[in-house]
Amino acid sequence: MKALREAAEKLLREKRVSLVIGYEDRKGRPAFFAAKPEDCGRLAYDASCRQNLAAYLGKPEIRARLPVAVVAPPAVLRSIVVLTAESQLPPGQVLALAVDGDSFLGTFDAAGVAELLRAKYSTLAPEPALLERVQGLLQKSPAERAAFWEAEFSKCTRCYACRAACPGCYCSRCIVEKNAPQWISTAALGHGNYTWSVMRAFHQSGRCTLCGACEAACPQGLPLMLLNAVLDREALEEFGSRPGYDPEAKPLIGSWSADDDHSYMR
Amino acid sequence: MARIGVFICHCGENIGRTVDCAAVSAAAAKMPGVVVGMDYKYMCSDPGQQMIRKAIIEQKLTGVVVGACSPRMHERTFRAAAAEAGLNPYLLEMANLREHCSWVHSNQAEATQKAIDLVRVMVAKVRRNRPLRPIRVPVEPTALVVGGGIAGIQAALDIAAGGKKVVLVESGPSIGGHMARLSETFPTLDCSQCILTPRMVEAASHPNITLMTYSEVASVEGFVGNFTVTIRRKARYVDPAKCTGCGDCFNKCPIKKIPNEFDAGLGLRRAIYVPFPQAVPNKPVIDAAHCTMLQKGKCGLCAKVCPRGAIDYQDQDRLEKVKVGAVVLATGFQLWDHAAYGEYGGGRLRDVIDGFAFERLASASGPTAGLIKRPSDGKEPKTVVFLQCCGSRDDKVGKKYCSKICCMYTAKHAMLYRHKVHDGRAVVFYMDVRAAGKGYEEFVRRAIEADGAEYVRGRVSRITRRRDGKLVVLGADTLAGRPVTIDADLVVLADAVVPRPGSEKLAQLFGVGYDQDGFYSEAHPKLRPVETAAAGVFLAGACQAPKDIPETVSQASAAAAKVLGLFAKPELEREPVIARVNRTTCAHCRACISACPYGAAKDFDIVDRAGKVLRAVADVNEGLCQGCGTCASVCRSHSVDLDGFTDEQIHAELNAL
Ligand SMILES: Cc1cc2nc3c(=O)[nH]c(=O)nc-3n(C[C@H](O)[C@H](O)[C@H](O)COP(=O)(O)OP(=O)(O)OC[C@H]3O[C@@H](n4cnc5c(N)ncnc54)[C@H](O)[C@@H]3O)c2cc1C
Ligand code: SF4
Ligand code: SF4
Repeated sequence: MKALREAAEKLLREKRVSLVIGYEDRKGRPAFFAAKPEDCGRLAYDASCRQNLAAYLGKPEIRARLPVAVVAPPAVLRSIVVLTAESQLPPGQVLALAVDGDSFLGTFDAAGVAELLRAKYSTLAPEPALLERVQGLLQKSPAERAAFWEAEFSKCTRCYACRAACPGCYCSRCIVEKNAPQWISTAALGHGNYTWSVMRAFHQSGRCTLCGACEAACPQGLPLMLLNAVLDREALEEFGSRPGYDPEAKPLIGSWSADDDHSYMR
Repeated sequence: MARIGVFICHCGENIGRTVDCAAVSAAAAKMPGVVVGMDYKYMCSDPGQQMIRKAIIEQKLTGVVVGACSPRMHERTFRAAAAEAGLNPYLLEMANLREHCSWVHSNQAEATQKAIDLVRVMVAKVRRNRPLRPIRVPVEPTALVVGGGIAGIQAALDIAAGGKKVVLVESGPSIGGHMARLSETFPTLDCSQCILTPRMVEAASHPNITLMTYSEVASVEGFVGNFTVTIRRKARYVDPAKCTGCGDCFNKCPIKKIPNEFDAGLGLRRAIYVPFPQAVPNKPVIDAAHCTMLQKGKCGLCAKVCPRGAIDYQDQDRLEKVKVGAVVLATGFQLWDHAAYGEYGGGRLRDVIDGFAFERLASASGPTAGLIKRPSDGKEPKTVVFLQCCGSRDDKVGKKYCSKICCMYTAKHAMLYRHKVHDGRAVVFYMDVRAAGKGYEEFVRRAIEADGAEYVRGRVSRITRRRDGKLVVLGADTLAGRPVTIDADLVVLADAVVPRPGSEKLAQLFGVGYDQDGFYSEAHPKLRPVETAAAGVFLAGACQAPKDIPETVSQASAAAAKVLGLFAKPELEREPVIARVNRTTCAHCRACISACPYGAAKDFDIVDRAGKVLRAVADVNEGLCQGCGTCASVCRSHSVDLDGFTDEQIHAELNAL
């Protein structure tokens, strides 16, 4: 904790960043924006931090204050790599204060983040508890599964907290807000709810780092990670996609190569 | 206010038989925005088109729906008619009442209801259509020809004669293809080299043709009129600018025992070599796999003897970009490997050879100087058995199709053999004799009647080698209904014609389709036999299907005519169905840029008046975009729309159902 605070303070003091985005030493560990060196004493980090702070990097208010530093556990480091690959982070404008468990690992630029991930976290796998939940779901019959999701999605109030929590949701105009034409109903019921949640997950396939921030943010307790985890597995097994390791990676949906399987073309 | 006209075509009885066209036009007339509904027997005929033109003018129509056949059939026709009447052609849409309705249904009431629905959908769409203008793109009047066999040479010469530039790319060290390997050619028996080599020389010296031998296509960008093709110039290790072709190097090279591919392995070549004496260009290359200098750094003799210092062991593959407006694929064929037939020796019997090997034996410039000698002991064979359909018309082990040329060249082989070995027997096993060509049947009759080739109808079940070196050929004479056994000295298998290895990869680079056997697919088997599904890419020769020389040359000249037609105008008009990016909502995630198969989606900087970059977004190059819509489908924020198929139009179509 001390090391993290010192590193953050140093960055601000040396004016290498204008803002450090971290977690506050307070119950619930809310996000905290340290703009002055003396603010850094209020930073904290432990396993209870569920928010993915990389989500702030997409917000115009934060972009206006670049360069910034972010407190980043492994999943957030991967989000930074995803955002780099998707040209969302201007080069050299974001530093990561890497943390893991209780330890502070150092300050890294984008290239350093990718290197750290490759060296230390290349075998990062979804949490066993999550995989167990997925297995449980997959054991149900299609009809049972449909009923399960029907019940879950019906709780959604369309507050879009999941979207706000996700670093991948950086579009300035989300598809759900498109009204000419309106493809997805915005009324908080029925088919619109279903479409929204499934589409949100689809839009993260090949990009989700399984940080869990969306599920943690959902006030209605929807098991969003089940959708994310299944898509993650699909992307890995079918396309070998491991998002968040290669800052030059081509998007999973939206890339192709002449070596792709063309046998279906005959 | 929308003023839509709906015109329903009976298509003779094609639509009228199952769909009540009058009912459809009456229903359409009541749809919102529709001011006229009419039906007619043949809308595409002159009176039909006149109905549409008249209504556009008199009723001041703002949009038209024609309920008829597939837009692939007549959209152009009707749009041209609309344009003549002064309506922007892109304000006309077609509802497919034939392929999508009458042809696939039989119940009249239901089919009529469906036809009304299809029309309603298009009326909903056309109300949201916007006038579009065709896109003009400049054409680069240079052609790329891939493959330097007779097909590629002919196409290149014809395009060059038309005054346009050609880049002729050949993967081997010389142009000429298989024709250069043939002895004499059916049906006239003129010497292949004598008719081919002058053309090879002409191709190499023509001011409009740039020859790139020992080269391959590495990548392709762009589209019809504006391709950028990257060519890999393979390392030759001999500088062609310095080399005079004197031959000192390959006469001295100590690595002598490499089977010469050109001679079907019957002759030998060195590690530095020209494939055959009449090669164009007549300059050697070093075969890196066999050269000890390149493999182990030992030898270097050729560099020592070369009087011009042309040898360069450090030579490397180079990439070169060429800009071309059209492409002719002419990559030819090869023979199927009969090793798959265990009953014919599985490729292990030295005196069981393929057609090319026989061509080389019979050729005056071949390894035996035109004397027929069998590979195992160099003796003159007194009985030669020829087997047609080896691997053809056999969908179990070989190929389902007929290779088309084998009947003819087998007759030629039997004839040439009898001309050279007067006391020899030539026995031909055949399934049918397919000699459908000008002078072809006569040619086969001549082989049988004048030259005494013995034709046996039937198949050979087994070829074995006896101790004394004879090949025992066990077959059946199905006309006489009895088995036959022949003691042969040489067996020639007419192996099936198959595409070259790597031809599928090349097709993928150019976006050209191919069939299950790997032959390139033409755009239409009857009406567009030299075009492909990829605009601006044409086909010539045996890469499309088995072909003899006359057919190959005809197709090559046809492809050249297509290329010259394309180059006749300085600009190309293209359908304005292209993608547009909404710059306000684009998040610049670059998914579309990565996904666009034509390299049309690109980065774009939005700048202020002072030139300061405010934001980056995606943008679409109108000239390159093909309107495939891939970008629109990967855009998460739906910031890409396709002109002519906008989200709004498609949403309206769905809602109308
Ligand atoms: C045994 C035999 C005897 C025959 N006798 C006769 C006859 O007497 N009369 C007759 O009319 N026909 C005859 N034919 C048919 C004749 O050989 C063909 O019609 C003719 O060779 C077809 O020419 P092509 O240019 O299409 O193909 P090819 O001759 O195969 O030439 C293709 C060329 O393209 C090059 N190439 C291939 N792939 C690439 C690539 N990716 N990049 C660059 N270059 C590439 C190859 O190296 C080659 O030079 C005979 C065929 C056989 C097998
Ligand atoms: S051309 Fe003649 S030999 Fe060749 S496959 Fe056809 S029928 Fe058989
Ligand atoms: S529609 Fe989009 S993906 Fe397709 S060619 Fe145009 S820009 Fe490229």
